[in-house]
Amino acid sequence: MQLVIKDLSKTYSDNTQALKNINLTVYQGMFGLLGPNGAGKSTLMRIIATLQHADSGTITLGDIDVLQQKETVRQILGYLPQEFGLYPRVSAETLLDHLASLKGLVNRSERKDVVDAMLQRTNLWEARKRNLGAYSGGMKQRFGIAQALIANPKLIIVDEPTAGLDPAERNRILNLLSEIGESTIVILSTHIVDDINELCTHVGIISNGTLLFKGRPIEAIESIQGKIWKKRVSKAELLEAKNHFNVISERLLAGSPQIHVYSDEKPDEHFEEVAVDLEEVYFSKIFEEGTVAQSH
Amino acid sequence: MKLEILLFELKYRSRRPATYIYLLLSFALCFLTVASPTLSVPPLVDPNSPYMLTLLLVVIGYVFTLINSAVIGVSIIRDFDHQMEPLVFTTPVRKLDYLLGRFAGSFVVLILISLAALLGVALAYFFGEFMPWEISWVDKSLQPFQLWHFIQPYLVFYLPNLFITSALFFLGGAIGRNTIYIYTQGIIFIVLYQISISFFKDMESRHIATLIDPLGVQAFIYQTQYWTPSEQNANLVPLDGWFLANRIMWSVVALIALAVTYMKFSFTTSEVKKARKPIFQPETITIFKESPFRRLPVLQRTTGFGTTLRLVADRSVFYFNLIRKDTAFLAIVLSGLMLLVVKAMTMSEMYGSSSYPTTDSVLTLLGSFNLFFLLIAVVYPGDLIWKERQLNIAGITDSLPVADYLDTLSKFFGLLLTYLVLLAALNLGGLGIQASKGYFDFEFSAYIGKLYGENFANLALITIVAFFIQVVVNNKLLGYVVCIVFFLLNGNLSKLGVESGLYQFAAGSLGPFSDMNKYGHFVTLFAWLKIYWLGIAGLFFIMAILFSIRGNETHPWVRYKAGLTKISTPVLVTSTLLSISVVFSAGTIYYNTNLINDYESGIEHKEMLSAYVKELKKYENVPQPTIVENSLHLALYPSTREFVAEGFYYLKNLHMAPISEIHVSHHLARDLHVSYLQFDRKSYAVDSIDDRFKYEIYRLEDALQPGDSLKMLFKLSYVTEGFRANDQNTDLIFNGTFIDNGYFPSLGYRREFETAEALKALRQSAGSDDDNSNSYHGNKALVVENHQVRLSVIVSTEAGQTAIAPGVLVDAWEENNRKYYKYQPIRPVPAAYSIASARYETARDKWNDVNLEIYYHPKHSYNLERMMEGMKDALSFYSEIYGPYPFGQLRIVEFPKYSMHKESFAGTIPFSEGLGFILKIDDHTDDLDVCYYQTVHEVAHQWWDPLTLVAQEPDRPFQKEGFAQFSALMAIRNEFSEETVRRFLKYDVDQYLSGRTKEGVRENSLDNATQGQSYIYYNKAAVAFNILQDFLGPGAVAQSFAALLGRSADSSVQVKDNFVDQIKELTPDSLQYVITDVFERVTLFDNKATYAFFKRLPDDRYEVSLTFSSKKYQMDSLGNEVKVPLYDWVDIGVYTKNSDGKVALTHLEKVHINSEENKIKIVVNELPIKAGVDPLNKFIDKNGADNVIGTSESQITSGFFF
Repeated sequence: MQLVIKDLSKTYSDNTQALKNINLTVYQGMFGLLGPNGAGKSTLMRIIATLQHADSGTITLGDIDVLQQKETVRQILGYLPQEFGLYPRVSAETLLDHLASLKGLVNRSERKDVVDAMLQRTNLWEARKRNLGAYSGGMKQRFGIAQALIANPKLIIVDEPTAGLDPAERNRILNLLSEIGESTIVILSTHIVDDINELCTHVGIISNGTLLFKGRPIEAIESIQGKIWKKRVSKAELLEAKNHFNVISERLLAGSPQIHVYSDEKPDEHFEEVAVDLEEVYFSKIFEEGTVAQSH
Repeated sequence: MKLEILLFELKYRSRRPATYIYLLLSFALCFLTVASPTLSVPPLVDPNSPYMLTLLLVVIGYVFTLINSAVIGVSIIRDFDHQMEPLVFTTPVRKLDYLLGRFAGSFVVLILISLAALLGVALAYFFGEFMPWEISWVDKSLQPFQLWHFIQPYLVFYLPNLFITSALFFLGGAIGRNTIYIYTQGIIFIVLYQISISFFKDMESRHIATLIDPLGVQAFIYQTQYWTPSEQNANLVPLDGWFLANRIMWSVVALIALAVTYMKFSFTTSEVKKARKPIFQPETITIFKESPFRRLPVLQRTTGFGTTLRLVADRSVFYFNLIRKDTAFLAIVLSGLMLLVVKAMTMSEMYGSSSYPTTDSVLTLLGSFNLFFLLIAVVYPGDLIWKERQLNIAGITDSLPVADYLDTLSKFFGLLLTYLVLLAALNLGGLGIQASKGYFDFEFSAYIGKLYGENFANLALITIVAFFIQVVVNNKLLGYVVCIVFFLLNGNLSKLGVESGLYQFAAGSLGPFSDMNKYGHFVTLFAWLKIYWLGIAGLFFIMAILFSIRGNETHPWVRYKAGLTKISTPVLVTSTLLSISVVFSAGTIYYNTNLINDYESGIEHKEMLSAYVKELKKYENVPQPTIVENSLHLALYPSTREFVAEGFYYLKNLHMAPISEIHVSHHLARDLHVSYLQFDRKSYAVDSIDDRFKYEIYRLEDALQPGDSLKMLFKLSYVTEGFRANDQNTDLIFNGTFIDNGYFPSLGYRREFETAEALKALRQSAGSDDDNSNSYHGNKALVVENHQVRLSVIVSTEAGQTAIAPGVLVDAWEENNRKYYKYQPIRPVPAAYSIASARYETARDKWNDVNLEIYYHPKHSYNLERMMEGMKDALSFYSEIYGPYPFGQLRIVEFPKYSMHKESFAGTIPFSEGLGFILKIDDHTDDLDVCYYQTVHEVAHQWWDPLTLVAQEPDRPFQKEGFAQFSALMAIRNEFSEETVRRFLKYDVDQYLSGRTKEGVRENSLDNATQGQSYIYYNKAAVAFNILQDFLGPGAVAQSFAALLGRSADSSVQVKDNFVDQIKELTPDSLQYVITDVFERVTLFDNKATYAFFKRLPDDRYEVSLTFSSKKYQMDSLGNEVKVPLYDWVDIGVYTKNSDGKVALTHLEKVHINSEENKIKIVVNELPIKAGVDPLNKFIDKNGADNVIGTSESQITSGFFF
C-alpha cells in the first residue's frame, strides 16, 4: 500500500496559496516532511488526515480515495496534530480508553490491555490517574503519540512531534516513533533536520507550498556532494559575499559569521568544502526555490 | 502612576468595540423599555412619577448587573486570559496602583454606561409618542420634567448598586482569576434576591428581607409597600430606616471586598495552577530489545450500527462527566439548590400559617430552579459545541473514525443525561421536603408529568435550539446573544399578537396540578404540542449535525457544501419520519383547534367582549321579570366534559309596568348550544343581535302584566369536541366539576362579561370620563338576581362521582350506571348557586337537627375536624344572635384549585382545594387557624344572604361581606386568645394597606366599596368592625345586624335598609364621628410615641410621662389624602413588668385629643417598660411599628430613645 498524492493544490480564503501542485508518493516506512515554518506542511498533513478540503488534485491510499472516503481513511488513521490540547479534567487513562473505544476497540477488557500497554510504552503509566491538565509538555506529547498509535493504524501522521521539547523528551519521542512497524506508512513533519536524519527512509522538502525535493536522504546528500563550500567572513563582508555567491545559509561561529555557499566548483581559495548532510540539502533546496521564485 | 493606569484603562476601553456596544445597548434598552407598548403603568400613576422612575432605575440597574460583571471582570481577568500577567507583574508597578487603577478605570466606564441608561429613560418620555408603535402610556399625562426625580433614585439606588456589584465582582475576578467566579457571584445576587422575596412574604421578617438583598430591590418594595397612587406620584423613596441600613451595610461589604482584594491579590502568575502541577520525576528510559509495539495485543476494530450506538452511549456519559465536573456548572447547581433550601424553609401561606407540602406546591417550589435550568440549557450547548476547538483537541477528535453525528448527538445526550440527573435530584429533594414535614401523600404522577414531562421536554427543546444556533452562528458569544434574543422574542410573541402554540416555540404547558383533577384535560393539547415541537426541533437538530464543523474548514460555503454531502439515507429517512410527525401533529392540532372548534385568540376574545359591552350595555336597565322558580334537570358527563341541562323558570314581573320584551342571555362559552328556549305564551325572537353575544330578545305577543308570571322552558347542551387552543374551561372537568348558574340562561345584560378595557372604550366613545360610573375591579361576579328563587335540581353524574347542588338531598337513585340526586332547599334561596361533581368522600356530623357534611377529596382529610368544629361553633353562636339557622343542612364542598376562593350558597359552602383543606395547623389555640376562620366567615353568609335584601345588592359588596367579617371576628374572639385575634387583624391591616396601593380607579369608603375592592370589604371591614366593637361594644353591632335581619329584640329600634344607617341609630352622638370616619370616609392615622419616661412616686407607684404625636388623614373628593383636625378618642397604654418578670399591657385607657402633639401622665403600679399611643394598632396606622416606645427613668437618659 502506498499513498499517492497527485496535483494537490490548496488556497486559503485570504488568497494564501498553501499548496501548489504537489505530487508525491509515500511508501511504507517513515517519511519525513521537512520545511520551514509556514511552508504548508501542516496543511498537507491536515488534508491527508481528512480535516481539510483540497481545491484540486487527488490523494489515494491503496484503493481509498482519501479526499472522498474520509470515513474509510479515519478507520486506519493515527494522527497527532502539531498543536493540540486535552480535556484538562480527565485522567490520561480515561481519555486514552475513551479515544480507543471511539477508534473501534469496543471490547472493554481487551481495550484495557491495549491502553495499559500503551501507557507503559509511553512511560505514562505512573501518571495515568493524573488529570491531563497537570501534564508537562513532553508528557502531553507522549500522550498524543499514544492516542495516535493505539488502534494499529496503517497510516500515521505526526505533525511536528518534537517542537518545543527538551533534548531528553525529544529522544523519547523519536524512540517511540522508531518502534512503529515497517508495514505502516508514517508521515513525520518537522523543521528539525536531525529528526529526519535519525528516523526517515524517505524525505520530502517543502517550502512555500512547493515540494522541492523527494527521495531518500542519501540520494539528496549525494546530489549536492562537493557543491557546498564554507567560509568565515567578517560582518562587513557579509553583504558583499551575499551579492557575489549563492549563500544558502549563514550562521555565527564564535561570534563571526560563517557562510555556506552553493557552487559546482570551489568559489575561491578561501572556501572549504563542507561534508554534506541533510541540513545542507535543506538549505540548498530552499535557496533554489527562493531564486526560482525571484526570477518569476 | 496611578492616574496613568487609570488612563490606560480608559484608553483601552475607548478602543474596544464592546464599550460602545454597552453604551448603545444600555441607552437603547432603556429607551425602548420606557417607550414601549408593554411598559405597565398602574392606572392612577403617572408614567414619569418619582415612583415609576425609581422603579425603572431599580429594575434596569438590576438587569445591567450583567454588564457590570462583564466590564469589571475584563479589567482584572484580562491579563490572565491573555497570559500577559508575567509581563505586567514584573514591571515596577505597585499593587495598590495597579488594582485601584484598573478598578477606577472600569468604574468610570460603568458610570458612563449608567448615564447612557439614564439618558435613555429621560429621552423616552420626550420622544415616546413619536414612536411608530403605540406606547402603553400614550393617553396618560406626564408630570413636568424634574431632574431631581432622576438624580435621587440614581444616587440612592443605581450608583451604590454599581459600586457594590463592581467591588464584589472585582474581588471574585482578582482572587479567582477566571470569569467563572464572576458569573457565579452574579448568580449569588439572584439567589439573595430570591431569598429576600421569601422573607418578605412573612410580615414579621420583612425588615430582614430588606437587608438580605444587596441591590435594595426588596428595600424599595418595603419602603413603598403602602404607597397609594397619589403618594407614588409625589414621593421619592426616602433614604432612611431599613433602606439606609441596607445601603450602609452593603457599601461596607463592598469596601471590605476591595480591601480583601488588595490583601489577597498577589503579583504571581497563576499560583493556583502551579500548586496543582506536581513535579514529575525524570523517568528512566527503558531500552527495548525488540520494538515493544509489536508486543501490543493486536485487536480487531469493530464497526457497524451496534458499535455506533455503544459509542454514542459511551461518549454521552463522557460529556456528562465533563459537565458534572465543570466549576461553573457546580456553581449554578449549588446556587439553585441553595435557593430551594431557603424557599423550602420559608414556604408559607396567607396569615403566616403554613400549608401541607402537597406535591403541587412542592413542584411550584422546585419551579424556582427553572431559571438555573435555562442557564444551563443555553450556556452548555455553546460550551460543548466549542469544547474541542477551545481545548484544541479537535484535531484529534475530528479525525477519529466515527460518524459525523456521533459528536453532536453525544453532546446532546450528555446534556439530557445531566438534566435527568438534576431532575431526579430535584424529585428526591421534593420528596425529602415533603417527608421532612411529615407529609407522605406523594403524587408521583405529578412529579413525573411536571419534571420528566414538561420540564424535560422544554429543556430538550431549548437545548436543540441552542445547538442549532451555535452551529449556524459559529461564534460562541454571538451564539449566546442570538439565543437570548430568540428566547426573548419567543417569550413575547403573544404580546405581539402571535398566540397559537403552533408558532410559539416549545409551547404547551401541563398547567397546575390539582390533587383532584390531576393534570386533567390539559394533557392532550400539551402532548400534541410537544410532539409537534420535538419533531421540528429534531429537524433543526439534523441540520445542526449536517452543518456542524469537523476539521478546519469554517468558510460558510465550504460548510454548506460539505453539509450537503453528509445527507445520507438514514438522514433522509429520519427527516422524513420527523416531517411526518410534524405534519401529523400540526394537522391534529389545527383540526381540533381551528376546524372542529373555532379558534379565538385572546385578542379576538377581548374585542368580542368590548363589542358585547358596546352593543348591549344599553339594555342594562331594561326592566325584566325575576326568576322566582327554577327547576333544573342537569346531566353531567365529566369524562367527556359535557352536560345537558333541561328545565324551566317561572318569571314574575315585579315591576310596576308591563314587560313585553324578554332579554335572555347565555353563557358566552362557544361549546354551549341552546337546543330550545320557549315561553308558555306566544312570542317571537328579535334577531338583530350578534350571534357571538348569545343574547336573545323575545317579544311577547301579550305583555307580562305587573305581578303576572311566565314560564320559560329551555334545554342546553355543552359539547366538548376535541380540544381547543386555549381551553381554559376549568369548570367542567374530569374530576371536580364545579359550575355555577352562569351556565344557565339569565335575564338581561350580564355584567360579569364586562372588562376594564371594554368599559374604558365605551366611556371614551361616549366622551365621558367619569371614572365612577360602572367602575370595574376585575373580579368575576356571579349572576345575582334580586330575588329569592324556589329551587329544585335533579343532577345526574357518572358512577363513582357524587353530585351536589344546594338544598336538602330529597332523593337519590341509580339508573343506567349513572347516579341521580334530587336537591331542594327548604326555603327560597338567592338565585346564585353552584353544582359540583367529583369522586368525593364524605364526613358527616350533626348539630341539633342540622346535618353537617364535608365532601372532600379522599386525601384531603387533614382539617375536617376543624371545619366541623367551625360549622358547629358558628351555628350555635350565630343562631343565638341572628335567629334559627335557615336551612336544614350545611355542607362544605371541595373543588379544584383552578380557582382559589370560597363561596357561600344556600346550605352549601364550596371551598377551593388550595385553601383550608391543605392548611397545616399545628397548634389550634396559638396558630392562626385560617381554616376555622374561613369556615365561620362562610357560615355567617348563610343567615345574611338569603334573609336580607341588602345583602344582594351586587354593587355594594360591603353589605354582604361586612356582615360575614363582623360575625367571623366575633366567632374567633370566642375561640382564640386576644393575641391571636390581633395577629389576624394585623394581616388584615397589611392586606388593606397594600391593596390600596394597587387601586386602579379610586379608593372608596367601606360603605361604598365596589365589587373587586376586596381589600376594602374584606380586610378593612375586619379592622373597621374591630374599632366599632371597641367603641360601642360587640352587643350594639350585633344588635344592628339582628335588626336588619328583622330580629331585633328591642321593638323600638327602627329598621333601616342598610347597616350604616342602622348602627347610627344605636350610636350616641359623641361617637357618631367614629361611624363616619370608619364607614363613610377613608381615614388613616399616623400615631407615634416620641418620649416616655417615668419617675417613682413616694407610694411605690410610677408616674409615666408620655409624649406622642397623632396625625389623622382623610381622603378628599379628589382622592388626595389630607390631614384633618383631630377631635378624637385614642388609646393610651403602658406595658409593665410584674414581680415575676412578665411584661404585659396593664394600663389601657382612652383619652380625648385635639392636637397633634400631646403629653400625658399616667400612674401605674408596676415598673413601666414601654408606653405608647394606640398600642394595639386598632386604628389603621400608616406606620404601626412606632406607636410604642421604651420607657426610661430619668429625663437625661430619655434622650437616648429619641
